[in-house]
Amino acid sequence: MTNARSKPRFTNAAREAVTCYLFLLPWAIGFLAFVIGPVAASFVLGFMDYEIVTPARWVGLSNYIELFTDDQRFGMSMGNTLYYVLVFVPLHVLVATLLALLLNQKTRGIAVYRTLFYVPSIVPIVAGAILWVWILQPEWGLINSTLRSVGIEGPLWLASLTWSKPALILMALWGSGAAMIIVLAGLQGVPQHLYEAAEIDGANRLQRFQHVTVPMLSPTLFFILVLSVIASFQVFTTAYVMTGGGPAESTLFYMLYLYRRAFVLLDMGYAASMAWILFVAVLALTLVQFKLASRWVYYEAEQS
Amino acid sequence: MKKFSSAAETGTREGISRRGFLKNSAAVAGLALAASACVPAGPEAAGDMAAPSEEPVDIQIWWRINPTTEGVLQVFQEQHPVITVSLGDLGEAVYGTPKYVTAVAAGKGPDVSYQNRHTFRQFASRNLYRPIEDLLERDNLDKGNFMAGPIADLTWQGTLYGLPHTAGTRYFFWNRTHFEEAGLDPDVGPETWDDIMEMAPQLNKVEGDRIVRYGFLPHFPPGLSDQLLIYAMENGGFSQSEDGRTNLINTDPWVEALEWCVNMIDEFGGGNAAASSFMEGFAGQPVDPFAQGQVSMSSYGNWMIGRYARFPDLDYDGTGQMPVSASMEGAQVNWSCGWTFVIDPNTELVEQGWEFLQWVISEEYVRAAGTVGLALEKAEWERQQLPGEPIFAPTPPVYQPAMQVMLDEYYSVLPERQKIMMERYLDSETFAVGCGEIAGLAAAELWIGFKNAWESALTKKLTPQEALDASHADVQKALDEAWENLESS
Repeated sequence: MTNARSKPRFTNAAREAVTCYLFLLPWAIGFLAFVIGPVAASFVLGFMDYEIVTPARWVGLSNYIELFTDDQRFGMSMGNTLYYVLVFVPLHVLVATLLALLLNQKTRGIAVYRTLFYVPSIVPIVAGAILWVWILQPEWGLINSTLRSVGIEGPLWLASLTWSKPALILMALWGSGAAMIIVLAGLQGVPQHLYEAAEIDGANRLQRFQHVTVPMLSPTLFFILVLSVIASFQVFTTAYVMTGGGPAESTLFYMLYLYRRAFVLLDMGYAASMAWILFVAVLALTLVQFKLASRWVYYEAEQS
Repeated sequence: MKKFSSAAETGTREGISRRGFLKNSAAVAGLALAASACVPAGPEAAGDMAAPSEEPVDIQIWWRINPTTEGVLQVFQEQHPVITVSLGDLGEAVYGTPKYVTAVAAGKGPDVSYQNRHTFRQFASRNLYRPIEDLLERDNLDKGNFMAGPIADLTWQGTLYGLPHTAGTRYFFWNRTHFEEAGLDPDVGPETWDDIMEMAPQLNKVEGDRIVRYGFLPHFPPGLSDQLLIYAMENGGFSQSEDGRTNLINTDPWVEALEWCVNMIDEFGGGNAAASSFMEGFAGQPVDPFAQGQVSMSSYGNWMIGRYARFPDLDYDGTGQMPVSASMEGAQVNWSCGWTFVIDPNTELVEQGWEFLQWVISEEYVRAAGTVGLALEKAEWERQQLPGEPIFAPTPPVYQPAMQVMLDEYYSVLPERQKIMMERYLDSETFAVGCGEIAGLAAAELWIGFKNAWESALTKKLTPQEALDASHADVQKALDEAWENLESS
């Protein structure tokens, strides 16, 4: 009896656990209701003919079959997206790295330069897109006017079948500031003694960059690579605002086509199946990246 | 018995442990969340409540948020003290209406909404709007008092689904000064495509190897995606069969029309690259190249009659009788579209919504909109320091008694030329085909199909025939599915 009275009903650990779960509860409810729920619903909808305003009808695999056998735009939009991913992602990583290297110098006013390069990445994407419509305007836009002043006739950019995607990529590269900051943080985390040791061993600047900077920076670059690939597959806003998918669907990216099927043509079941295909494709690609990462990403902790 | 302490007391109490603070906070947060989950959402609760008749009832209207709508709604509320209005913006709505569709599907649509007729039948057939025949009959509102075309557009299988608010047709403008400079009669615009082909090169102005003023460019206005339609109609084309089941946009009149546009740009527009480059410069701008005197003839819409008056250097004229191809010589061709008010199929505030609908099509609305609009126009003229008195040609209503007020109070005081242009517009409404009839049950697909075919042919990605075949296939597929779903349900 005495023991039972003196023994607390809950141990400290149990109390802490309950407190922890209570704190987690609002997020967990939100996550279940607004993330897991819609994701699960979209999986089911992928097997249905659902036009939003009419009751959903089970159609089995027919959405998926139609996508792969009877929808040219599925392949076209995926092709446009792959072009964007393949061109943008390497350039994005390269530009972010080069900028970070430049801004890692001990120069007077470096904070101002860093801010200037970072600012575009926090400009709201729609505002940035409208700004770039003007910059890319073929007749009197900033780029073509500059090109014309040195005797080069610039392309039609957003009105050109050939140049519309590069134009959107150019605009996206303008927002590389966020990645640049991450690389810069990575650069500043490289221990100075490694450079000193390499210097003592007779390594020149290029060798120090190749054998010290790049390996030490590889986890950061890998992180940016993975995120960029995922984000690039979801490119939507710039194309929606700047081209609407044109001209002649040359910028009809996968997500834009998905949006059109869902919210313009009200083909929500079909759009849900498209979303799941994209999810699987991006997941597979990310897993491949992780698999290949062991070949080029250097983790100091693993080595030690 | 332990008393709850106030927040102030808790904050000043000494010795509260971190764990205790966390525990209490978590408990409060959890309770608050649980409590909030038990409270019904605001709008639903308001809708469920049967308000006493003396108490104002709030209705939600999705329209455009601008000084004109806000001004007229103030007048509406003054005239209807038992109804208050919450105004929301409709969002993207000409070639589809995603915000409205998803809201109605979720049972959270506005009580009343503005809708464009471009996609009206497609959505009416899917029960996105409340049928209003019963209200019309009860209140003796005669359909015969409206323009016939818009009423036909809003009617699906014999039932009316909304009240038409405004209408507008395509309109052909020309710059009188440019005509005089080129030795053409400024009082007579082109009547056929051959006239355009003859006049355009005379009106073109070239500096070096660049065209700095275009006589005529078919892809006008910049950014519009349905230009193809009017050219096809000018060549005798129609978008679908009479029963609405067969899409016809790859038939000869359409292919010939698109070929003519491509040819026109190649021959007199310096090619698509130069013409697109020029036109792109105006996309999304409030000022178009016709207003700036950089294009001499344009195929646009009647709503520009008043807007072009803000350009004192622009001496313009126009007609609702669109120039036609040789095979259609003498035919009167145009298409009409516009805005409509509908009632949400799920709302319980039908009476209040209907009250608003009747008001917004009426003479009272025209006077309110006219008063607000004229004041805004005056302010704009003052801001721009434009010479003379403001020329105010508000959007024409569809309800005939309201139109009479518009004619008497606003159009009658217009300068002679604008007055004649408005008369020509009104005449064009008598022979124009409504966009509801044109677009049918696969409207969203059709407007996308126009844009795709147009861009593919102009950029030479496809021939006009190939481009239209591709768009036809898309639209026909959607049309078949729409009919199949309709019949199976």
